[in-house]
Amino acid sequence: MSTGLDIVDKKIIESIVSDDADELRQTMRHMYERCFGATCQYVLNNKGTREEAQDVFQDALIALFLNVKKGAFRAESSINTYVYGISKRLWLKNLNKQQVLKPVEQADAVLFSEQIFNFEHQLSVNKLLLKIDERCRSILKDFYYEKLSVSKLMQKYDIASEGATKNKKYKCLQKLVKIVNENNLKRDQFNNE
Amino acid sequence: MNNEINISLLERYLQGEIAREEVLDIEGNPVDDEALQKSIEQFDDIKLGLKVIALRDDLKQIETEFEATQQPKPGWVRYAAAAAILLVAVASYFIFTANQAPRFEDYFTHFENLSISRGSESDQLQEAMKFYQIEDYDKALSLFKALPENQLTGESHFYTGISALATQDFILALEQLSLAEYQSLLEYSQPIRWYKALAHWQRGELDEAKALLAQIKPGHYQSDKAQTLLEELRD
Repeated sequence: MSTGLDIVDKKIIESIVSDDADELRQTMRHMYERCFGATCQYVLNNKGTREEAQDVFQDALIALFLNVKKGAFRAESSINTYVYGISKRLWLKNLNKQQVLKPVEQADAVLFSEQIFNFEHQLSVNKLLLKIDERCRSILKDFYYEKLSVSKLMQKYDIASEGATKNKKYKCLQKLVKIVNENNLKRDQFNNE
Repeated sequence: MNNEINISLLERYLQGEIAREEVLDIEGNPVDDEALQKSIEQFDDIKLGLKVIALRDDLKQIETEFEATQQPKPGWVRYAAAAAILLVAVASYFIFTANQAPRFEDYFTHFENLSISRGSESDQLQEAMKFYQIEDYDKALSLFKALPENQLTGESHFYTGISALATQDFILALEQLSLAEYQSLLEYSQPIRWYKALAHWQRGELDEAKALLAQIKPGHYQSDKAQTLLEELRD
């Protein structure tokens, strides 16, 4: 990783790679302080509202997260520029759907289209993940995101033993696998447009 | 993912607990390499998806907290701020007609330590803070610079940054204030903006300085001075 990244950008990337939920939350708070203003101004200047800017900005942060996690993030620009570029791309795409986009703006947006591929693929996966029951989803989130140990999961969800907790977790995971398979989700089903 | 694969065994394999050959389908039969590879990719997608769902929940919460900090102040605060700006503007007129170019020493002021010794800091950090508080920035900076990695915090970066600024090491000041901004956030965000603006100004990076000064709203840390300096830099 080289060029466009300053010392804080590098910390941001490290925190995403680290898989530590607390560190990630801190990074995301920082991102709001640092980058939301520019995205908000852009959306407001282009027929949008502050609420729409918030949605676009959230999606841009998720895209950053996914691209770093999947090794697709290219450190060619600062994180600020990157998030702004993704936000712009997402917002123009939204305008395009509403058919209110001028051609010159569309050409400008192609730059970041590649970088939202992972985001769009993951959105489709996530729709399926939302199909499992809330308790299962919560257990899996706590295990894979918050990194709670099996014994902490056992206490939190009031399960009788660690063995039963592990079993519950695997059953939930197997349910998810089944849902994904039933929907025959394939990477080539997604494209940038 | 092949829905016949034993997900428990797959996860144990990925964690290095069992060998490749021990990954079986749910009926206890071996799985071929292609099926295993596909299963691993989809399992990664699922885990990442769970993290994205959790992150999105976090972002909603962070956004709510962030928006709360962006709310306009009550009416009397705005009037008070406006009156203060007017006063500063009048005072500034007299100051700056006498001194044409704005001077760093007219703008840089010591930042009072918000969290004076809670007893939890290391001796080295307390020693550095002691010199910082008496405004011996050279000594403080050399002690801050000697802090071991495991004692660096958002606050230590912040006070290192101000000490660097006071001793006119503007590159170090910007680096340390950026690290503080990254680590300590809301509590120090307003002063960080102000001190970074000063550092950029002194480095001749006027666009960056002006952009930061413009973000300092009435009622924020050093908002009066920021307004005055911004107008000076625009001229």
